[in-house]
Amino acid sequence: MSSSSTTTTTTRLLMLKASDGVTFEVEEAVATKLGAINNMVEEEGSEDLICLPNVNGKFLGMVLEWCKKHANNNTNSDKGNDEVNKWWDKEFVMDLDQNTLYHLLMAADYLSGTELVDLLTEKVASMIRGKKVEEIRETFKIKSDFLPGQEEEIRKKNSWAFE
Amino acid sequence: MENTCCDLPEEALVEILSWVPPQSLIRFKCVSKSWCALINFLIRNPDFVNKHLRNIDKTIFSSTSLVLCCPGYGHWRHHELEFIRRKLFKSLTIFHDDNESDRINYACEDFALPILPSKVHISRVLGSHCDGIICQADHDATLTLCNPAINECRTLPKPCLASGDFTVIGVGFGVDPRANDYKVVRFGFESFPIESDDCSKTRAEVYSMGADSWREIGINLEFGCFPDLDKEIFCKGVFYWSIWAPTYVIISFDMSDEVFNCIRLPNNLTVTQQGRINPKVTVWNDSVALFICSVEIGVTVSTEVWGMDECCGGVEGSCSWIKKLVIGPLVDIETPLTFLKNDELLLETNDGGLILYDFRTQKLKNPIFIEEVNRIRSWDFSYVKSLVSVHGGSHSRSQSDIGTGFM
Repeated sequence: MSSSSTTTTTTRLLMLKASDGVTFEVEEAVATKLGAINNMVEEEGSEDLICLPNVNGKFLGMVLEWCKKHANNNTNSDKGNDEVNKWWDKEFVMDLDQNTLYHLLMAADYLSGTELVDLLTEKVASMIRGKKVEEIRETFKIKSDFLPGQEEEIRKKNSWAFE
Repeated sequence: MENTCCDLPEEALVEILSWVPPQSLIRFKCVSKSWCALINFLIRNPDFVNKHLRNIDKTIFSSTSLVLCCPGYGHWRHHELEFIRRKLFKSLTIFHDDNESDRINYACEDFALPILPSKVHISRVLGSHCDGIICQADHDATLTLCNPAINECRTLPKPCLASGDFTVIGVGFGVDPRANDYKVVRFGFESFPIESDDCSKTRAEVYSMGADSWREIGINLEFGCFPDLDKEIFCKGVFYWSIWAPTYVIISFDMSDEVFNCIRLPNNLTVTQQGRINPKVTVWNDSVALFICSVEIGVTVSTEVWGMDECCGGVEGSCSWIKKLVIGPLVDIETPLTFLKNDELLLETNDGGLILYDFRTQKLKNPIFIEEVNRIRSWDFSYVKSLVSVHGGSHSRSQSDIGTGFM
């Protein structure tokens, strides 16, 4: 099959294959929201089938859902659309649990989806901002490894941040 | 197996921390040794500090904060009392999450800003803000830079123009985007002669945070009388003051070129016929704009918003204005305060309340009345919590703890 038709109005379809064999057929404009795929497409002689051995189908599907939304709305980018995207983004990350956030972040990072990484890291930050130290350890399952007295010393030095 | 976000590589954790407010970040040093070492490294890293600052604008969980200096009646009478001093500064945060509701979702708190060590009464102290750093200056020669979000404050070196003969007109603190340096500009009169007609001995100086010193610069402005200066705004490396001397003009100061300019108001204002106008500079859609509203009491008039034409902004005589919006007429509105998001405007009502006007829908939200944020207010500005040090990027912060690896 020839891929020389990319300059015409016909949208090229790409086949993305996840680690568990699940495949997704997506428009090139959608998939190239991801920097990694964009690079592969720009490389000469690229195939229409792209294998992504580091992402499983569940999370690749979610990443592509995000791409689809943002690729569509990019065509007429005025302020109103910007707002709509923000609301959609907020809904998208609203109820994600940590395990999903972890895998999505790993996937978005691997695929160089910079804007998606921003969205996901901001979501994680919103879960920890304003929280107590003990709550952070609880949330992230971290054990304190300070020697006796060390933590108290840091607290004392930065007491204003604990008010 | 369930993964937590702490299993993420360090680069991802850095991304997450770049969205966390400064105070939380400092507190999180106590989570573990590795968090402590990482955070200590990050808050001293200019790239991270910049990224953190840029993320404030990008956030989807958005809110706008104003800091207000509210001396109130108590402070006039008993300004030496500690509890009155503590309540002097307020922060008002307006949350934009609650889009559909007709009430304003807000929080008003005491704001811990050290008071300027000055004999001058607080109502005469000027306040200026850029990137999380607040500059306070009195009409003598005392100036401080504070970043309350990281608990930093310092007094600036004594200015060059500090003799008893020098009278300050304006002070502004901002960033020089070209030199990547924070600067203070301070201008005024040398021995203002009340009797004589010659009142054009203006002088100016600039403090550079990078050099940590003041130097005098040229100023080519002349005033017909002692000017009455409105609060400055800062937009894309340039300061703007609305000034009355003896007609309204706008003075600009370019932080990179260090040049003053005089900008005329739009000459086809419609509200001028109806009474005295009260122009107020503001920022809208990242450009300079002007509120024009009548100050006649008891008369309901519209407020006009004029935008400065970008292509020729700042150069004397060649600056043009375009009328962008007409708001109202709105009943019982005293004065526009500031744009919040680009389509929302915070206004003050006649009875001392605050009200939000959405000019996309042309709807007013219910007013809020905050006792402390009353009319006895000396200044207000929008504020962001940043990690930018008042000591400058190249200078070391209090680094006593860096040797031990954490703390």
